[in-house]
Amino acid sequence: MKGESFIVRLKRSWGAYILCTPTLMLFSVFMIYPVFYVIRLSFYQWDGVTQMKFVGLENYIRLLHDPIWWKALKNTVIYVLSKLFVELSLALGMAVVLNSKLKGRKFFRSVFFLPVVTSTAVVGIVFSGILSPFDGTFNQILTKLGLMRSFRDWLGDPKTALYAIIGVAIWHDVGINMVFFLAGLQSIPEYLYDAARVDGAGPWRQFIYLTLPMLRPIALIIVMLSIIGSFKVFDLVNVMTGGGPYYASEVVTDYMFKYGFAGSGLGTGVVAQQGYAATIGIGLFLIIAVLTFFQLKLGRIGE
Amino acid sequence: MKGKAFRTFGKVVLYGLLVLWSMICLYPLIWMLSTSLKTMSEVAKNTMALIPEAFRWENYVEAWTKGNFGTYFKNSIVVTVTTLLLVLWTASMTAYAVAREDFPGRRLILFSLVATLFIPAEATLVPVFHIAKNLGLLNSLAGLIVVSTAGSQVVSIYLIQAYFRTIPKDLDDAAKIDGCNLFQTYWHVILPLAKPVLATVAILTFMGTWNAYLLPLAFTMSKPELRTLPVGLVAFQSGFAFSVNWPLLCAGAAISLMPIVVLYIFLQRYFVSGIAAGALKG
Repeated sequence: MKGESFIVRLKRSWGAYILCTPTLMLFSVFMIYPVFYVIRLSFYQWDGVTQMKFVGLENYIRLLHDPIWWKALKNTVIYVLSKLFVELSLALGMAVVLNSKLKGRKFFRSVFFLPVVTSTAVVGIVFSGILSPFDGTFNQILTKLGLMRSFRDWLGDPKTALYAIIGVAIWHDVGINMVFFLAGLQSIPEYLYDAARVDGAGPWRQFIYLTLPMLRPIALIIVMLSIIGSFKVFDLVNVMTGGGPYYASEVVTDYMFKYGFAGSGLGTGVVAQQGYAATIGIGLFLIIAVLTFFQLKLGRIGE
Repeated sequence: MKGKAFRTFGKVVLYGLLVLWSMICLYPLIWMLSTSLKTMSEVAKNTMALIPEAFRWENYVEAWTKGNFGTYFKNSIVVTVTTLLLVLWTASMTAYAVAREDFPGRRLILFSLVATLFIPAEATLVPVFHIAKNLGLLNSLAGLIVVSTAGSQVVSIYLIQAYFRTIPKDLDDAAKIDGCNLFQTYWHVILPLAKPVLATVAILTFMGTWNAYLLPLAFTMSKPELRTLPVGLVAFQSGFAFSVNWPLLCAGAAISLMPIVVLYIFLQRYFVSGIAAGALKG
């Protein structure tokens, strides 16, 4: 086969090209081309309807001086970090417990995973009912348990709105991370634990000196997926608070779509500027790219 | 004996925590179901009661007809099923080509597939919106289906091609000797052997499309009759000016959630392994 000319290989491969055609068409039109489009758009001022106006780096300068962008970024980072630490430790704990030969572990596993399959938009609506300020169940439970004296407007109070959303997000996603950790735990060979036991290590020391180091490779992937996924949070914020009150729970993607789809159901309170939306999108992309890069490096150092 | 008492105590605490989290997982869904069967005044009087005074199934009829959830349900089914079939078809063809054939450009295709994994789809939604508009695909279910299909390509192709590689190449050669061409081998020999991975991809795509909110929202903004369930539900909620009709809203939410929850209950094993594989390998 070697030494075959390029043309001959090309001719011989016509079948493969036909097989790839639908994917390539979809891919170039809706995945590759939009990347160049969004870069170009970020140098323009455009309301989406009238003539586009080239403005150079103006959108980027505006982004750096936009207090709401920084606020949205700060909120997103709070969201990312809370999910990272609270959700992943919860998930690891669940995985360790449900990996043991506990009675009923199958039942608990399937119940804990159930929220993962639900739509975040639909769940967001249901939770906004549970968290409702006057007669919401959440308020009633907390006051009845004596944890709180008066009712709170969880989603309407700038102090709590973001954390209420984070709580719902953890409810929704902890199950999938539990399953990831379970996959990691099951890949640790049993004989290592036998050896540790022979050496006199109790359950706690087995966990610290055996389980955690062995989980490292999969944990790095889980952390990366969690960070990247969390940076893109949109549904819950849009459905539960719309970024409010007064941008108290605004996140990057929701802020982007306010400019990108202003005047529609998505965008409220701002003037349409799709060039600016594109710039915010590039900001999001750069953050994710840098984080991914460092993650991959970090993973390699450990090896 | 002290040690034993301690261990029993620990076990009780552990089970207590597990039961507590199970209740937290299930409560919102139970609350939704019970509210969906109450009257407005009953909700105002007592939101806590999980068993309604009388089961008002009429709420579902009202949500289905007056709340337009019948239309939304139909749209969700059409979009999800068509996307699912298109993804299975297009992704398995490309996966077959990149896993089995060595052709010029193969590496380029693989590279661009992987590269787009790092581009958040959210960041390119505005351009995608305009491209769809120029192609006349906006405000139509067809447009939504095409873009959803495009979005599911990468992970699907990756999973399917990895599976194809585990099928011995001898089979292809044998099929060729028997007179099968490339397409016949793909369709009659390899695809039937790949049922497990096709099931995984089907579940992932089904879940992603059925639950999607952002994309259908952007694609149906000026056509309320094209909304899918999540988009319709959110619009239904914003439609209440003063007091939200929680029974109807919860009936709508239940109509949106139940199909996938029921599917999960019956196909649990496939859901868990499929979603884990999709995220970890993709």
